[in-house]
Amino acid sequence: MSKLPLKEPRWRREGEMPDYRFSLANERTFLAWIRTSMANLAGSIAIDQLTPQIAPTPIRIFLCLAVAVIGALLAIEAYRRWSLQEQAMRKKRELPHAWPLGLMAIVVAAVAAVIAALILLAR
Amino acid sequence: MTTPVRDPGLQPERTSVAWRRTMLAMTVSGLFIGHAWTTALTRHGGNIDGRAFGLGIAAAVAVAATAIIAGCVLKRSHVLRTGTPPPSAAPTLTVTLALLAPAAVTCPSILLGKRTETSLQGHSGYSVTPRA
Repeated sequence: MSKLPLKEPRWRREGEMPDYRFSLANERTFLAWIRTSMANLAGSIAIDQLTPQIAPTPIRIFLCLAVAVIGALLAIEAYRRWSLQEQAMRKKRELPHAWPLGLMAIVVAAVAAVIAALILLAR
Repeated sequence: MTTPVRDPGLQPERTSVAWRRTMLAMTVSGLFIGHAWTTALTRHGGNIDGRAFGLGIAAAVAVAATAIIAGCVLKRSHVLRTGTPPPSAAPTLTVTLALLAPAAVTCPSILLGKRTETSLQGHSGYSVTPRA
């Protein structure tokens, strides 16, 4: 990876390198969040493309945009969390609180409720 | 790290499979965007305007992002085949940025569609307009 122009951040040289099992687990967690973000992006397109009659255009577009923006924020958060967790492991501190878990639960539940309501109303 | 490798077990394999799964998810998202683009093209009778234009760019960006992520996946799985080195920041950051690009282009292209779509709704609804 040394050929890539992206430099290693300074915190990669601080503290002690964690056990490889933990860094690999951290990497997989990052990838899982990235996939969640991609699923959000695909979901946004799916609402836009597959359900043209589900709601008046402004509501539908708002729903699409909300889901897509959440996807983008999740991608940023995935990287931030990966870095914060490795920093915590390097300094043998407690792992940071996983607030995206609660947030994602609320957001997915809210989107599901809105879509369920729209499907009911569209009948 | 000079400690002897203590049975890596399935850890590297799980990690590279996770990378491939990510690649697959990106491909599916890209195909979705591509499908949206071709649909918009058909609906506009082959004219690249408004929504078809935005989604075309989004599809191109998605293809580029898929290629970049594929590069990261190949490189990382190759490294993981021989050992258990921790990831460097480069692939994770690259994947994040590569994913942000299609998201950033898709949002305006959805917005862009609003005007053209409502004007089309009047006469043809959502049925596919046949090409002349």
